[in-house]
Amino acid sequence: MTISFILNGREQQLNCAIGANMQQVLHGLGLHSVRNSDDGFGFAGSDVIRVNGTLVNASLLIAAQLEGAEVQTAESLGTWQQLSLVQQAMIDVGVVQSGYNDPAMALVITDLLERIPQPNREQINDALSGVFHRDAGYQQFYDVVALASKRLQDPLYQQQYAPEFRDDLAIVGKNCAKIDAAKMLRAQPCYVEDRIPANACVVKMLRSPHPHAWIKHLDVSKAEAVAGVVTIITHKNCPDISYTPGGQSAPEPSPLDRRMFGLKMRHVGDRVAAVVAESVEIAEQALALIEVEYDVLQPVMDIDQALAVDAPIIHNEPIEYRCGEPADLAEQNLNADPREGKLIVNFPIGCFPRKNIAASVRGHIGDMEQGFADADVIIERTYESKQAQQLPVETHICYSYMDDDRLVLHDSTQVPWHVRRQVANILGVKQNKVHIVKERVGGGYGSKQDILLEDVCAWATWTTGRPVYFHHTREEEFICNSSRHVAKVTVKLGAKKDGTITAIDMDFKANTGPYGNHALTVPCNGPALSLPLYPCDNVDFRVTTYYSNICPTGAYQGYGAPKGNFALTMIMAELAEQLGIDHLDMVEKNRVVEGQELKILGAIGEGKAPTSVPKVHSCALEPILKIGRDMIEWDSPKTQDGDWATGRGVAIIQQKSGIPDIDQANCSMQMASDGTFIVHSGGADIGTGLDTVINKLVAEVLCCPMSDITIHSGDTDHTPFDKGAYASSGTCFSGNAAKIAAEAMQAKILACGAEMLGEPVDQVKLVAPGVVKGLSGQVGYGEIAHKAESGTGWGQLLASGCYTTSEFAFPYGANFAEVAVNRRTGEIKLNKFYALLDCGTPVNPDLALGQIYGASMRAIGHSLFEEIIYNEQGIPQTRDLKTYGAPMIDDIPFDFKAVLVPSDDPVGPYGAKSISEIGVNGAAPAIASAIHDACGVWLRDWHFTPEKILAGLNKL
Amino acid sequence: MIEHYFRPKTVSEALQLMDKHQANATWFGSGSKLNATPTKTVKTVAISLSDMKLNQIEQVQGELHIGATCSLQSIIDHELTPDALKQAAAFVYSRHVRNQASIAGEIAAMQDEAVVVPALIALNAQLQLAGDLTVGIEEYLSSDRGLILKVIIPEPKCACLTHTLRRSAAGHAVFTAAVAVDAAGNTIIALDGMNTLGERQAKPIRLTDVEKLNLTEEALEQAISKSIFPVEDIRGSVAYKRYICSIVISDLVAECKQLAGRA
Repeated sequence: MTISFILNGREQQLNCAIGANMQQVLHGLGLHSVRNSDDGFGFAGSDVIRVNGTLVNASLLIAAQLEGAEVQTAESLGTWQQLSLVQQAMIDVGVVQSGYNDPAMALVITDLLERIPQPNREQINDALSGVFHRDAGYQQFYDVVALASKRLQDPLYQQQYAPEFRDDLAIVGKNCAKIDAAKMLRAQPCYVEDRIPANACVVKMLRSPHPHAWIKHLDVSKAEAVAGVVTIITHKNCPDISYTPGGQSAPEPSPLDRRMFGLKMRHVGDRVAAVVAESVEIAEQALALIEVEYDVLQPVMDIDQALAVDAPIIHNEPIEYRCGEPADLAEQNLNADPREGKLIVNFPIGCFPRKNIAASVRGHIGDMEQGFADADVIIERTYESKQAQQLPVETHICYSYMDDDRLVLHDSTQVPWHVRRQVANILGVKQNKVHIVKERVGGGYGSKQDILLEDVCAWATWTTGRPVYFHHTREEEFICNSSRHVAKVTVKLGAKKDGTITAIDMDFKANTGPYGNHALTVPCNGPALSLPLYPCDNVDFRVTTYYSNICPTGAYQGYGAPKGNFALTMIMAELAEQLGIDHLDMVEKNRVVEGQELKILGAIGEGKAPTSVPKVHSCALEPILKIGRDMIEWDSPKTQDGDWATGRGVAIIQQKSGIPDIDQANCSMQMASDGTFIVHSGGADIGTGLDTVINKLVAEVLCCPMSDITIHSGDTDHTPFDKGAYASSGTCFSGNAAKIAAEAMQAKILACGAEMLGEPVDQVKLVAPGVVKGLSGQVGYGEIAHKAESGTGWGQLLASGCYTTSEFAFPYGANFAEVAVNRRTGEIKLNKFYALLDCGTPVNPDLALGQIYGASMRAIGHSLFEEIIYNEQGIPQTRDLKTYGAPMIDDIPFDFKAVLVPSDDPVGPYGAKSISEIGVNGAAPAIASAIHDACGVWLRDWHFTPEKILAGLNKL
Repeated sequence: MIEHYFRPKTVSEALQLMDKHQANATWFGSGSKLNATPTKTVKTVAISLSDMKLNQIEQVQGELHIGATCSLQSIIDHELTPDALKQAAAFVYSRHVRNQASIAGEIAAMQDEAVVVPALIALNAQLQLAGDLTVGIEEYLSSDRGLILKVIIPEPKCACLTHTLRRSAAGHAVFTAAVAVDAAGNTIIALDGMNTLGERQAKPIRLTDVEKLNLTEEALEQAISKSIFPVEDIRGSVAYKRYICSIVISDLVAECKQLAGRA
C-alpha cells in the first residue's frame, strides 16, 4: 500500500506493506537515527521518533498507523553544519561516547525542553525513561539538560563541566569536543548497519535449545530448497579448523577449542546451522524447515558440578599442543572422541580438559606458613559472583563482501587485526586477502574483543561471493555472546592486631562456560589486579578455570579484577570488623604506595611472566582516600529513619594501561600539501574517545590546532598494526605510538624548517599554530609542505612510531558508597556513590568523567540488578533487557560523582594512564560493605538483592 | 503480520468488521503490545479504534469516564485522574510506551504483568463494552473479552494506594498491589504478580477473604501470607514473595485507612 505522511517537514509517500515495522522502514529510508537495539521489545528506545508531536518507539508501530501522521526523527534536529541547541549541549558536556543512542537522547531532551523549559530531576528522569544508555551512566544528562535549558534564555551561555589539568600543556588536559561526536549525533552513516546495501544477504543462525547435547540427526535439504536461500553452513561444510573466539595477541593464551560448527552442543545458543538467504523472512522460513534431533546430555552448570569426579566432560576432543606438550598427553587422549573435533593448546596454560579445566596457574611469593604464624587473627571466606552481560546498545554486527579476490569486512570490533588474523586462518588464506574496516562501535566493554560472528559472515561471503551481513538479536547477545565469568573465590587472610596483613592465600575458581576464550587471562587478573593493592610479603594464589554449559563468557571490562577485588576487599572489611578497626583505616595501613615494587605481579603473567618486578611509577591513592573520606563524611554519624538504616563502604581499585612485553601499537602520519596532517592510527576507538586522544597528543607535539589533524584508525589496510582496544591499552599504547610518530614528524619539520630559514636545527623550534620559528624569521607548515612536495623538495613528510614497553602504568582509584537498607523489606537505596580515579593526566577531562560514570554504572548494575539466570535444566531465563534488569536513569545513585585526581606517570604520554576500565572494579565491594555497615549482613554472594538481605536478617 | 488495517468511525462499523473477519481479526488500540515482539499478534486483520473518538477523559455525574484509547500518559497528565491511577499508569516505566499504550490495552492484553490493573480493581472500575454492556473489571478478566469502549471509575475520590516492587526501575515487578477504601468503608485489596513469568498471562487477583477480616498489622500480614500462592521465578523465591507481599500490602491497608479517615 502507499502511505502518505509528513516526514521531517516534507510530504512523503511510501510504498510498503501495511504491517511493515516502522523502525525498519525509516532506517531503510536512510534515517539512521531510528536504530534497533532490542528487536521490538520497546525497552531500549533507540528507535524513538515523534508522531504528531508525541515520542513513541518506531518498532512498536506498523506502517498503516502513520497514514496522515506527522513524523519527526532525530535527523530533523539541527541543520547541515549547525547542530541543534540540545545536540551542542551534549557535545559541550562531553556525554557522547559510542553515540549509538545519542540521537534518540537528543530527540527526547528536545521534546522535554519544549514541554518543560526548566525541568527538575524527576521530570528529567521521566523524560529519559524510554532510552537505555549504557556508556555514559546517565548522570551527565542532567548537565546536558541544564545547559540546554540555560541556552534557551542565553544562547551564548558557557560552562565548564570538568576541571582542566597541566598548565604547561596547551591541548592535553584541556576539555574539547570529541571529534566524532557531531557525526554520531547527526546520525550520519558511521556504524556497520549504516553500510549494508539492500542487496546484501543475511545470516540467521539455528541454535541449540539444549545446554549439552549431541546432534544425532541434521537435515537441511528442505531449507536449502527454499527460493532465496543462498547456502546453509553446518558442521559438514565448514572449515575444519580449531580456534578460540578470543581476540588476543597470537599465540593466544586460550585453548583453541571451538570449530565454526560442531556435532556437540555445549550451551543453549550454540551453533547448529547458519542460513544465508536473500532476506530475513526467507532465512526464518528456512530455519523452520531444518530438521534436527539431539541426544541430550547432562549439563554442567556450575564450578562444583564441573570439578566433581564423575562430572560429564565438556571437551573430550583429541588434544594437540603447538609447543610444550605434556608427557602424559597420550594418556589424556586415550578416550578422546574425534567427533568433537580437536582441541589445540598453543603453549602450556594448565589446560586439563578431561577434568573440565580450561586453564590453571599458580603464583607464590614468600613463606605462607610463617606469614600466617605471624598473624594474630586469621579468617577464611568464600565469595561468589554471577554472570553478567556487557549490553552494548549496538548488538554485534558484521558485513562482508568480496572486492575482486579480497574479502572486506565492515565490523563492529575492538580488535581489527586479531579479526583479520583469525578470519584469514579460518578461511585458509593469507592476511593480505582480508581487509577489516572497523566502523564506529556502539559499545563494546570487552564483548567485541571476541570473534563471535565474523567467522561465519566471512565464510559465507568467501564461499558464495555474495555480500552478507550477520547482526545479533538482543536474545543472541544474551545466549551466545561473551559475558562476565562466574567466579568463586576463597581467601584466607592473616593480620596482626594493628591491622597489618601478614599473609594472603587466594583460591580463584572461575566458570568459563563452553569455550575457553580468555580462560587463563581473565581469572588471572583476579589476583593480578587485587593482590597488588595490598602489598604483602607472603602471598599464594591458585587460579583454575572450569568448562561448563552456561552461556559463553569472555572479556568484560575489568577482566577478572572486579571479582578478585570483591573477595579481597570484603575479607579485609570482615577482618577489620573482627579486629575492631575502621575498614578505611585498615585500607590506609596496608595499601600500595608510589614507588613500591609489586612482588606478587612478578609472579603473574598473561601467558608470559613480566621480565622484571613491576614498579608503581605513580599513585594518587593518598589524596584520593583523603578527598573521598571528606566527600562522604566517612567519620560522621549515620542516620536511622524508621526501618531504614544507613551504611558506608569503600574499595580501592587498580588496573593496567596495556600489557607490557605483549602488546604493541603503531601509528603513521603524513603531512598534507598545506601543512595539515593525516594520522593513521592502528588504535580501535570503540566510543571511548581514543581518536580524540590521538588527535590531542599529536596536536600537542606538533603545536597545531586539532582541526588541522585528521585521524584514520582501525583499518587493517590503511593503518598500521595495533593490538586493539582491550587491557586498557588505548591511551598508553596507541597514544604513545601516536606521540612517537608525531615526535618523528616534529624532527623532520624542524629539519626542513631550519633548512628553509638557513639556520641550524637546534636554533629553531615549533610554535603554535604550526610554525617553525628561528632567530631570523619563521616558516609555516604549509610552506614546508609545499617545498617538501616540489621537484626540489625532500619528499612528502612521513613519520611513524611504534610503542612497546616493559613498564606498567597503573591507574588507581577508590569507590565510596553510602546506602540505606530497609531492615523490614530488604530494599537497598544507593544514596551516594563517589568514584575517584587517578588516570595520571586526564587527556580529555570531560570525556574521562563520562568514562567513570559509565563504568561505575555498569558495575552498580552488576551489583544490584543484573544477572544471567538459568532454570534447573540449564536454560537461560534472562534473554531480554527487561528480564535481565538493564539499569535505567532511575537506577543511578541519587548523589553520583566522578572525580579526577591526577598524578604524573612517566610511562604514559604526557603522564596519562588508562581510564575506561578501572571504573568497574570497585562498586560491588563498596556497596556490599556499606550494606553490612547498615544492617550487619555480610553479602558474600554478588549480586545483592533484598531477598538475600532478608535471608541474612533471618526474616525468611 | 497485519495485512489489512481498518479504521472504523463508529462502534457498529467496528463490530461489523469484527463479525466479518472474526478469527483473523484483532481490535487494535495503539499497537504497543500487538506490534511488540514478545506479544506480537498473529492476526492479519487489525480493526483500529483510532478514529472512534474514544480518547476522552471526563467527569459524568461524579464518575470518571476514561475512553478506551486514552494513552497512559494522557491519563497521568489529566487533572481529573485519581492519584493512585496516575501512579499505576506510571508503573509502565518508559514514557515512550506510556505515550502509546492505551488504558484498554493494559486491561485486555495478555502480558506477563498487569501493573495498572490492581489499581483499577481497587477503584472498582467498570468497563463499558460495545453492545451496551457494562461489566466489572474482574468479571471482564475472567470471561470472554469484548470491545472496551470506556473505563468508568465510580468513586474517583475514594482512598486508594498502589505499590509495585522491582529490583530495577524498568525490570519486572515482583508484585503490584493496590488497596482502596470505598465510601461505605469497605476495603478492597488487589494483587498482581502471582503468575509464572514468561507465560504472558497476568492474573491479577482480589484478596476478598482477607478484605472481610478487617485485620491489622501482624494478623493482617499472616492472613495475606496464607491467602496468596506465589511461584518461584527469577523475581524471587516463594518465601520471599509471600513475605514481602504480606508486609507491603499490610502497610498499604493501614495507610489507606488513614487516608480514608482523613478524607
